[in-house]
Amino acid sequence: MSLEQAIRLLIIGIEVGSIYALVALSIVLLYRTSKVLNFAQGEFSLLGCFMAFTLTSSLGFPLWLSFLLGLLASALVAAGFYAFLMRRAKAQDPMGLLILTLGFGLFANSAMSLLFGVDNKQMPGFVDVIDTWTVAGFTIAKNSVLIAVMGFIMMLALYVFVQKTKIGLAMRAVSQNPEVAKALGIPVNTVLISSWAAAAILGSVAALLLTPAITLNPNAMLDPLNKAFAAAVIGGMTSLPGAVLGGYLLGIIESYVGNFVPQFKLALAFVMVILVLVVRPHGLLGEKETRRV
Amino acid sequence: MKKSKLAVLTLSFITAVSLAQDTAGVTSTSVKIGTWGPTSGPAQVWGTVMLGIEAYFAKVNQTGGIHGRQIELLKRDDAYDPARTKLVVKDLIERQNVFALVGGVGTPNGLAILEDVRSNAIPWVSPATGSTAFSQIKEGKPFTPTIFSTYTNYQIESTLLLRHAVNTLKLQRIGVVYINQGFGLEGAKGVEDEIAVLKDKATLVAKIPHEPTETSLALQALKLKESDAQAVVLYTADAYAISLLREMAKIGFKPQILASSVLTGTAMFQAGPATGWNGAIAASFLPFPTALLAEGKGDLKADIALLAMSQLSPAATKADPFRMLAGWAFAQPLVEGLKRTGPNLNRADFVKAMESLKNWKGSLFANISYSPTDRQGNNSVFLVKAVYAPKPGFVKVGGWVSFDNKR
Repeated sequence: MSLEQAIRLLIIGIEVGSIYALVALSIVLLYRTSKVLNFAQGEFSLLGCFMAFTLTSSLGFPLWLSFLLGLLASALVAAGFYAFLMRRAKAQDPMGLLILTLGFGLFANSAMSLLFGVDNKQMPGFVDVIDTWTVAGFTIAKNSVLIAVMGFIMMLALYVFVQKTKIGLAMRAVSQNPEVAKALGIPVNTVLISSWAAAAILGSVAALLLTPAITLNPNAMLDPLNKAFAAAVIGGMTSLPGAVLGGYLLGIIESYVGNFVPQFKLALAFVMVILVLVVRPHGLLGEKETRRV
Repeated sequence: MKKSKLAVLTLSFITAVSLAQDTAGVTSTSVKIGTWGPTSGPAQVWGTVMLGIEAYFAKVNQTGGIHGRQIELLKRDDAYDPARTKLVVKDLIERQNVFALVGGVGTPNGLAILEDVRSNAIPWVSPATGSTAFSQIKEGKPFTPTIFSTYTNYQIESTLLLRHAVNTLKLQRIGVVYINQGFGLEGAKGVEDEIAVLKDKATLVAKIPHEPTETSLALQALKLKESDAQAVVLYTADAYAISLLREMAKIGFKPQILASSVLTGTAMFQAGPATGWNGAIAASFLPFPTALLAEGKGDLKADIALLAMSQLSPAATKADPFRMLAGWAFAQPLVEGLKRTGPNLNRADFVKAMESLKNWKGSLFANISYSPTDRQGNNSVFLVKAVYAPKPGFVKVGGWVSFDNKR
């Protein structure tokens, strides 16, 4: 393998890994606070995209404003889903709630197909997806840089949000023990609604970064969501840094392995999951969950 | 006396039953034909093919029908779900008693009902798929003798694309990227088989699959660049092809692109003028009318058909002229078969009449030929080139190219 090829594979890995990491973060954020695996995450992410697409393409809104409104729409729908369906559901066990997210995901997918169509749409982006910079004779796509930088900024923003703000502190408290948090006067429902909104924003940013390169359709987030679930398990379902590590690790390994054995690329994520579950069931950076009896 | 009366009665009964079987769906004034396609669900745009068929039958009926019979078309929505295809086609065959089937969108959908068609010996003209499964020959005979394919199959299509790259464009290093299922595998096989025959003239430097669940084809683009292919044949759906072309452009790799007929929709132009789609050669099983070309004169027969369709079914023709033309073309050989069968319409004679089509140029297809040992009626593609100026669209590249054994 030439050095150029090795670097290009690394760039592909980082680009794809940034998307996996962002979606994995959204999954872990919800799992930590709500103890729910959200199978509707892909649809929440795409809702923001379709909204942004419609605003900018049909109504002529500036791109930045369309993206912001798209993120807002996605956050509102996710928060509403928690407030009006999840919280009120009779089946509050993890399996019941998981099925609820799955059902809502299928419904949202059909609704988006009906409203926006199933054809592939050209999602506008901040840079032309094939524009490149040349550095020391090596070309690199502007969009690849944008995805990596934006991914990093979003992860940093989440870190500040969770570690340095009051609501972030409350989220951590709720994730450790919701009953005690409630007894201490923390508004648990508000915290949970905020978690769902924040997770939807993370997923939507991933979709807004990805779809200009691959076209927008109601199934565009299917593969990234599957990989993000794997990345979350690899990094540890309880660890936000673990989700980031899992995302990048999966993206980069997948890139190199996929180059040599393309047929194995799809299975790789789940082989990694099996290995992690056997060797370190709580993930690379996750904490072992213990329960008092 | 009693015995001979009984024999006569039995013979009359058998004759009556067999006549009834032979003429299912046929009266002195009408003939029932069935078709299906998705008018709901994610693939619903393909339902337009049924409207094209309907428009052609309307034209035939307006001029008195065939041998005094009006064609009655029974359309069914299968939502592109093979399980539903089986249900609706069984209903068409067993309850509605259609005389024959025409069109029918999709490879998995057609495969779902292949056995029903075979066991009931129902004539089926123009399955709307390029899969070789419908014109398969076993032990020198058609596997399903009542099926008459008109859609250029993917193996022939990819062979013709490859010949254009090698013989006309003089390119030698060939790559193929294909979706790892049905039509992708058939297209890749066509390329591989032809390369083996062309030997010194061309080399297959990359044969790269991708899975239907993959989102980005960045790795495939990188592998193509490594292979240094001069021409790349694409057998995949448009979303994947767009991703691949953009990833190739990102790494500065722009070989000559050769694309399957499934990529002749307008969506492909989203790839952008700076990608390999600008100048890509695509194969179509149908000719392009002038209205669908970016510039230049299109096929005269297609122009005439489009004009007739726009009077019979203006809204659908305006919305999706290509799929309307496809339906129109699929229906034409069936009508010719009905004409050739004569006034005493039955399935056995209809099959013989279809087999009598030799180098028939009466439809939108280049020409149609069948024989007792061949059910792949059309072996030609209409070559077009994708351009972005003066406007995004296709231009004609020499018109029809036909498959024969000359290499």
